Amino acid sequence: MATSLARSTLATFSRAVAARTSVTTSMAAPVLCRSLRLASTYSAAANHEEDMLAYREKPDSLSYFTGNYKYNDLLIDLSSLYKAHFKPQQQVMSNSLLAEIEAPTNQTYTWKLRDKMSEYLGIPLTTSQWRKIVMQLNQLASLPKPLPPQVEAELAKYTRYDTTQQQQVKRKELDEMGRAFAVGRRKESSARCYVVEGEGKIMVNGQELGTYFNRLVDREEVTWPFESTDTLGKYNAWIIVEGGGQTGQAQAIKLGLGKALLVHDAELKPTLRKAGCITRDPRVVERKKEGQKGARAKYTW
Amino acid sequence: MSLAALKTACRRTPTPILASTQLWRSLATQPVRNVANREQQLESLIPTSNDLQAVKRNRPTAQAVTSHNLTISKLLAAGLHLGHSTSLWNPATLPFIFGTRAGISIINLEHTLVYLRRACNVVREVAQRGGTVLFVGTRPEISELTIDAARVSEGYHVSGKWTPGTLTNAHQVLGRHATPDPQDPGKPPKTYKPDIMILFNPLENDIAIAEAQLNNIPTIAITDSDCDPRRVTYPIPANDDSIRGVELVAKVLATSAREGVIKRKQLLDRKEKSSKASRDYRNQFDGRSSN
Repeated sequence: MATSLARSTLATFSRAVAARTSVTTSMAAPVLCRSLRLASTYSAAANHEEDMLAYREKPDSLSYFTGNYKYNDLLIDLSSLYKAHFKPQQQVMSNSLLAEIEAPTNQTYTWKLRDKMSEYLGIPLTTSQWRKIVMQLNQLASLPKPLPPQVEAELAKYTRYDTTQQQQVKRKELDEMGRAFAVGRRKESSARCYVVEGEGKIMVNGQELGTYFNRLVDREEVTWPFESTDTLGKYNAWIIVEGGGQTGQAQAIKLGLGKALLVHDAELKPTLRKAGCITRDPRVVERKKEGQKGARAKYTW
Repeated sequence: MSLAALKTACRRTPTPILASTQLWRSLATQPVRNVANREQQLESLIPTSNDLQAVKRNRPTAQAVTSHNLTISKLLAAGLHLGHSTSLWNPATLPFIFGTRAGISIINLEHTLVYLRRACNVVREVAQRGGTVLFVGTRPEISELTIDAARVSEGYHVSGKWTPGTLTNAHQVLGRHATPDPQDPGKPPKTYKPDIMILFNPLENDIAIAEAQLNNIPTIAITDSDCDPRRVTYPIPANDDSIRGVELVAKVLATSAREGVIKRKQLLDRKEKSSKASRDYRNQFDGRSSN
């Protein structure tokens, strides 16, 4: 026990001496072996200074002791980038309505999702960590446009790849004869609608509206997009409808006409939405389940 | 002295006109003759734009607060004397309490000053010896100033949450994100420990203080009237709730650490130069002997 203790203390002592010697010999090599501590050449002041100025290895990152230094450093970098480019007076000007009308922002940023972002950064991210990063990125994106090139470059690294493809969405336009084309669907019916500026005539499958639809309710459904937007006598409509029944076909035409009308005049959208001519009614016939009489009806016994 | 001469004299001197005793004396001695003259006299009192600019130029600029120019008035302005409610006090803080007012304990700023300057000296010496200074400020309001303090002093920060085991389980907490050695991937990565820890909210960081004590790391902390000052090595009895107060303390400590770092660099440069000089001296003689 005593010998092992002695041996261990000797081991620690020799290790300490070895550490000291290795440290001192790594510095500018002196001619004399200054690293060896001899009693004859020992000087308190000199050794104290040497100890004080001895090289000490330190961690590189500012956030080393947080335990997740790459993530914390990233957050610090993004916030310092924002602070570098944020100017309170400019911010007030950009928030004015006039500025927004003059330069409408059609650049929406979609950021990389958690998996892709952690893959790109090389840091494993939890959802809350990803959200914090996205909050910082949104803050940077909210700077007054045009964004400084440094900020743009930084944000481009985190944007989702398919955003560039999404932005090339084709805006629908009138064809060479001035017709707007749209498709409306309801239950099993689908209606192809051509809407052109005219006097207010509506033809369905080659027939007049009154002849094709017997019920008044169905006729009113067809004319509702024009009625709700006060455009009754302004457009002609040519409709081909197939599938389903009367009401289904009428409501399919309503949707198609609403979408076609939007191509002519995009400002009618809120009115048409309130009137219910934009939403595709997703209700379809529910399937029958085995062991039951119908979709919902069950056997009593 | 005529009025015209007075005007030119006023325009030449950069000092504010109304403060000039020479002008006042001359105006007092000059008798008022008629209204027109009086108006001219008054007109000459109006300072010119040059004089105003000169006044602006000569105004003393605000000095940065360091441990060398700390005063009790500055501590008072930052609100460092406001302790917590008397019903929530820790009796161990009795030596630092000046008294009570409006139901709160008032901290004696004379002690605050002394303890703060002591803490600054400690941090300066640690930094001069190449020590790792760690700033811990875990509340969201003080996270930014913690990071700034770390950056200024070339130290480190923990501004989010103190992960329990940072020091006692360093291999797992700090080592898991360390890059493995390219030559020896199996070797466990080297972990570092701070040489001094500065806490801005010690009441919320019990675990950090305990870990520091287990690892023989000295701690500095802002101890309010509800925090036991004996838990840390160098307490600073002051208000920990006021952001301005914490900012003042953080800046003072960070600038002290920075001074230590700069002093170290100077000493290293001096040592390098002296060793280089001695080497050149020796080489000189070697060259001669070879000839």
